[in-house]
Amino acid sequence: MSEADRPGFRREQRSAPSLARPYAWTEGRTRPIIELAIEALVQTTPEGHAVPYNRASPASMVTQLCLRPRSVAEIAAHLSVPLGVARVLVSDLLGAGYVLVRDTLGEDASWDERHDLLERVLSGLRTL
Amino acid sequence: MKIAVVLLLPVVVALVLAGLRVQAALDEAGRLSAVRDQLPVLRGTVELAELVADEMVTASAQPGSGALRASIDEVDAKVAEVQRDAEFAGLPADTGRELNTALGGLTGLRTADGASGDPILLTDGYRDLVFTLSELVPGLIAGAGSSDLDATAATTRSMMQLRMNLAVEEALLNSARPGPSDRTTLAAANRVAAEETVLSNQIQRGMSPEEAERFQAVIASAAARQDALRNALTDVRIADLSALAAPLSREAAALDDLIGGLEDSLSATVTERTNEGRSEALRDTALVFAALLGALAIALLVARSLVWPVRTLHAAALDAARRTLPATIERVRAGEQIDWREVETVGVEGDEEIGQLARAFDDMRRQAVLLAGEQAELRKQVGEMFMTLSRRSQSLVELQLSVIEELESDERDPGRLEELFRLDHLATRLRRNGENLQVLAGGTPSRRDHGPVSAIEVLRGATSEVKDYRRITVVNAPNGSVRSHVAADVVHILAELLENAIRFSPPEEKVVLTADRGSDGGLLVEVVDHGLGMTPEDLADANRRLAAGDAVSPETTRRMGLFVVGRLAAPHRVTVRLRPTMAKAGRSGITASVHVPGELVLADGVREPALAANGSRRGAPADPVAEPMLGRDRSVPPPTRTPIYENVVSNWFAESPVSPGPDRPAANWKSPVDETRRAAESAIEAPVPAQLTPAGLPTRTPGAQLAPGAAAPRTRTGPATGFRDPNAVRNNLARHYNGMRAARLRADSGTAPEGKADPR
Repeated sequence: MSEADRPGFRREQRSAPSLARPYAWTEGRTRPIIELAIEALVQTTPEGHAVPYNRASPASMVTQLCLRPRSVAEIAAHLSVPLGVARVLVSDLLGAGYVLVRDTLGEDASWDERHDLLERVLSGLRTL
Repeated sequence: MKIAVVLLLPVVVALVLAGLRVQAALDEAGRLSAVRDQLPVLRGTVELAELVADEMVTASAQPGSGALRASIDEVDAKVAEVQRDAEFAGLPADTGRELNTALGGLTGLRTADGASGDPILLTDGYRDLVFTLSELVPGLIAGAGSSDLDATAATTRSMMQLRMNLAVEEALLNSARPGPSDRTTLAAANRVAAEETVLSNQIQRGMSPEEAERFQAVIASAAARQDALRNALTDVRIADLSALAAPLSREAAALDDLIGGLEDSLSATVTERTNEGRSEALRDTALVFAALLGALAIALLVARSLVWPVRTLHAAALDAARRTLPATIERVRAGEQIDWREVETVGVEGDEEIGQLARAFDDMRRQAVLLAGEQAELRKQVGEMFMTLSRRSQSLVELQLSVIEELESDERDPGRLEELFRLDHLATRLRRNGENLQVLAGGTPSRRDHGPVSAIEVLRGATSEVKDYRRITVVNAPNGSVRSHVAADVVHILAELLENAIRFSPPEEKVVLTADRGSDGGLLVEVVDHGLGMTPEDLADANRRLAAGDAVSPETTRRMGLFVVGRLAAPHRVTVRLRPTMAKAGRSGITASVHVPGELVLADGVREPALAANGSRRGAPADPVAEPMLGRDRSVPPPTRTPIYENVVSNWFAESPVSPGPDRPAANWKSPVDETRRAAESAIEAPVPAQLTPAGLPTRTPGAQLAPGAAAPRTRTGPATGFRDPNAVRNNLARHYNGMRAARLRADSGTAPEGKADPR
């Protein structure tokens, strides 16, 4: 029996809600201890890298994800959690010193940085 | 029991009545037999009477002679014999006394005879004796209780008296002497003769005509003799009188014969009757017993014919009530179609009451099965109604969750997000509740296709469905994913176990949720609490319920969680066991372990086979090379299957819906583009070499996914590269595609009008 034949199975335009609900990631917390911009770049610090990886921990997922600098929005998209949840997770890590948050593009940003940002926006758009 | 009474009662009554009848017959036989035993006495008495008469005559004729002595001896011998016989025969008391008195009087007579010599007194004495003896005859025969015998006995008695009278007459005549004294003797003789007449008449009345004729012949001379006696009394002519003695003795001898005959016939009759009576009694007894036995046999047969069907019916009723009917109803409940007409009958036939009862019982049983069937049908309908309704509300809840998810993803205000989370949590619990409802209704919860779900998402999903989800600590999660169709059920099972664990542990205690891969590649999840724990009996009972998947019962509402877990786990062969935690001494708690079999768990990097062909699935998660450690994967598309690519594949290279006829020969029309396409396809199917960076991220080789020759390796050309208008490129390609299609169609049929093949 293929999946589509099962009773109750219906493909709809709207995507099916996920099994794991977003509030389970942060135990229901929605207020980050540190306010973060959604485009702020997050990168794992060596301390954060040193923490043993635990698949069960959301924090581990973020530190793994941010080995390469990623924006908060990107993190939210990767983890497919609401932005608010990603902010709470990142701010927790920031408080523990496991990640660094870099400023977003300033006036002195180089072309590469701008190009990089645009590319990331494009990839973000594609995932939508 | 009652049947036995009903049967026994007439038998007893019949037995009593028959016994009375047999008793009567035996009594008569006994009476006759007693009379027959007394017959020798009778005979002896009759003979004795004769002998006594002879003695009297002899004593009157030749007193003191030898003949008299001989006669006396003879009488004495007879007396002794009669007395002996009487002793043996067991005479009735008064009869025996009379006999003894009479016989005892004999000696007195003999001595008186010698002393006085008065013939009148002497003959009177003898006469009295013989009369007493003669009275014994009817007395003895009366014992037989028969009227005709009594009549004969009376006749015999009268005849004996007549005979004695004759003897007395003879004796008186013998002793008569001429003279005045003889006048008294003659007068006495005359008186006796007169008595004879009376007796003769009496005898004749009691006789049959032929007997009477014989008797008449015997006493023919009596009238003449009496006349002579009467004349002698007046005329006093003695000589004539002596001539009278001879006919007298003749008459007496003849009478003796008659008496003998009568007495013989009496004996014969009595003997015959005795035999008859006895055989009759025996026959009656035999008849009665035979009838009784027959009646008993019939009664037993009837009882058997009554009792056997009753027993059969009883056994069948018990069997039906205790075994057959529950089993049938169980089968009906299990969904089996049972025709009520096929219910086996009791097997008691017949039109009588028991048969009717059996048929009534059969009807009742059929009705029960029919009712059970109808009830099962009703239950099914109610269940279906339930299912339909709850499916509807489930899809509404799912929709609600989707909407909430969308709202959450865009929400930046933490306060509103928190409220959305609360809403989300409520809706999630509502979803679980709806699934419970569907399980209780006997169905399977409706599921959406989530694709394989990673272990951590399963754990997190279970956590999010629980009321107090903040009290759950997820400790460990292995790699691997649970197959799509099981994932939601596993999540639900874990949620129920978590809910139980939280409810039965103190509020400050955390419940631990941890998972690992089993030796068979399956997933082993444990829910550990330090709560109240369970008694070993409860634990065993709960495990039994989990393993067996018990039926819906009043218990179910109390332990709905366990019931749902059992029902959900069974079809997937997911096993759930409870055991005491035993973490610390003195602390209880239950650990629930859930084992998902290996064939339901996919290792990371393995595409779910059943779903791999479904190319259009959104966000195929099973390409972990690109993202080995992400819980959710729709963010980064796999490199070869971007939506744009798929769009291109489906629109450009798939067979057009109008072109392929079923009997169309394989296209022999080729173009260099086909080669390119085939090369591109092979490039897609070629396995992507997984080269990971030290951090676990994949390295990609530029151009590895491209069709060979389709594109030159990208080189940095710099910003000076000429600008290409995307519209122009699209028009170009569209024209090219249209041309290709038109050419194909023309090559196919040769008549297809141009430009009609594709509306684009």
